[in-house]
Amino acid sequence: MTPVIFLDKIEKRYESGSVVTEVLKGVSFSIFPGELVSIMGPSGAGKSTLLYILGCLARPSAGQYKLDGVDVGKLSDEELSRLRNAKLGFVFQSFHLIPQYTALENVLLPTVYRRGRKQEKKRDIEKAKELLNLVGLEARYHYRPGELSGGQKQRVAIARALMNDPEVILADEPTGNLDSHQSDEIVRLLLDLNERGRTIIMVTHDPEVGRQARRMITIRDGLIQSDVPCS
Amino acid sequence: MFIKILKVSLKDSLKHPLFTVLMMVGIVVSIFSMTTIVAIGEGTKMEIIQALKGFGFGGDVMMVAAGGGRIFRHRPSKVKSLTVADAEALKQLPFVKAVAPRQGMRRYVVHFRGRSFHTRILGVTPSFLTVGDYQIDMGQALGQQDLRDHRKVCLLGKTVAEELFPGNRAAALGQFIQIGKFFFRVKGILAEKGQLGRFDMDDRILIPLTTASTLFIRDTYLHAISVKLSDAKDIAAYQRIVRAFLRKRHHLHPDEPDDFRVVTSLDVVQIVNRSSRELTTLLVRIMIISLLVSGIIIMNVMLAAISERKVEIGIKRALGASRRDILSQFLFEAVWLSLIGSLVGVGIGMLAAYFLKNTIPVSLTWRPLYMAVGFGILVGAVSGAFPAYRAGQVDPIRAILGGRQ
Ligand SMILES: Nc1ncnc2c1ncn2[C@@H]1O[C@H](COP(=O)(O)OP(=O)(O)O)[C@@H](O)[C@H]1O
Ligand SMILES: [Mg+2]
Repeated sequence: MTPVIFLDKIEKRYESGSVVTEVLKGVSFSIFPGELVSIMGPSGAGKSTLLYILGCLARPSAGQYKLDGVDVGKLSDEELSRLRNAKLGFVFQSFHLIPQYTALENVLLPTVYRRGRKQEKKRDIEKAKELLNLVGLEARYHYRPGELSGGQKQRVAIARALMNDPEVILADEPTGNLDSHQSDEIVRLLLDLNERGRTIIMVTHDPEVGRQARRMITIRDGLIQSDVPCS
Repeated sequence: MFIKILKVSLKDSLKHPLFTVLMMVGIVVSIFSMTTIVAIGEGTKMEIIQALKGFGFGGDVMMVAAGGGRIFRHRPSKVKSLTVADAEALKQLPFVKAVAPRQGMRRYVVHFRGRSFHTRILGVTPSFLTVGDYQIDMGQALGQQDLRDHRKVCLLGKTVAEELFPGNRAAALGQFIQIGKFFFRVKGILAEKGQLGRFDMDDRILIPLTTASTLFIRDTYLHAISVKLSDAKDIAAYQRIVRAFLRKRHHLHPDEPDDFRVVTSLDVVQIVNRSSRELTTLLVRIMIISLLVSGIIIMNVMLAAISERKVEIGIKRALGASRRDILSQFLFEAVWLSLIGSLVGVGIGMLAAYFLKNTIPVSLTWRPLYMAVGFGILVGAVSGAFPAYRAGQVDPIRAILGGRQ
């Protein structure tokens, strides 16, 4: 089986003036379809940096990254954007729904940037509603983020991440802004999605959450400290 | 893709009404003022042309004026070479239907029983009324008898009649009014002609040409001859022919200048156009400044909006928007807001012009609409370009992670 994500000696440096921050110092791993991986580590370890490299929003300073067999390093902004749209779904710590949009409009947003396919507006709306049903928000299609709880917002965000049927879902501290009850619900939802075959990579510094994954990669000082299966 | 980005752009700007309104304010105001200025400018021009027609400058009338040089001048010429014989001779030309020779004079004080009024006296022939398109309101027109006998009779313009016979113009008929030292019998009253700009066309008295020559001018030379043409087909050619004809009659040597001017409706229109061009130049300068201001407003409001909407941009980038998609969205936004703004401006401007219609001359044409569409798009595109570029360059990670990094 070919890995959906293949990282080889990924490095990332930030240079601001004369100050150079080495955030990632050579990270290598592969992730296969259907995995549920948590990326753990202390704050400032470079977890988010790694996730945004995986998400094609940042480019590594060195090393190779293949997403679904495609070497991402050589792609233009346009091509990377297409890739993000088609193969990746993001879930953020601060939910990042567009406050002026309804839940349904937020879920539909990825279809705006979907290329190559015909307008399938009706079908998209049907699908967005199904996804909102799936995350338990069947009665909230037309609510705006301001009218939803944190947990509900994050569920809208998850529905949005699923909209274009991505290969991988990338979640950066998806439970970071939630109380423990809501947090449990979100983790359960992600586990459930993984059961249905979704590949999920989830950054967290909460061990309770991290342990729920099948595989746990721990990062420290820009290097992989451990990469172990969970029980 | 293009359509989808355009739709998102429309949708998003409606969701930020404050920015949207702020962006449009400048362009609305500048296009509004442009529209009203154009409407008033065109209206004034139309009115002048209309009035000139009333003045006897319809397409089928030309005027031969004594003295060469500039077409319109403030003082009548002192050149004495234009004569009644010239006027009679012009009738030989095949395209000349009628001629109306005249002696125009300075203003005289006219009196009637203690009332007095300062007005213009014209010495004319009966054909003056037909050539100049005058109607008789009351009484009679001048006749050949009046000319032959140098009679002291006159026709009053409406303004004069009202000044000397307030409340009852009809009472003027048959009365003797004093013009200078002489008494004239009022034979008729002219129908109203109205204003030509500030010039009151009814502020005049017509007397027989011969009477004017003997009593006032003490000479027979003419100040002008109005020439009614059989048609208005080739006025420029008629003008050339009349000029050659008169030069010959006046025995002018080829290197002598004309001692007369042949003025046609074309010259009049040209002069009106020249002054309206000057107005247009002024308008263009005002436009450039106000559009510049609108552009700066759009640019700054957009920059503010973009820094406010950074997170939104970051989210969209994560969901698959490329830099170009973001740039396009904001450029569209600038262009269509500017376009809508300028259409609103034209709308209000036209409405204002419509309501001003009864107060000042305005002309509602399509021109401001075309200009608004053009300027709307131009201003939007130019002033939106930089902010849109900046929007495209927003770093999605910084935006997504917020102030944390
Ligand atoms: N754009 C940037 N410029 C400079 N330094 C950065 C930038 N982004 C992140 N860093 C630094 O990289 C390190 C790792 O950050 P991050 O990946 O957010 O860590 P984590 O998500 O594990 O808390 C931090 O020290 C942070 O200050
Ligand atoms: Mg982080």
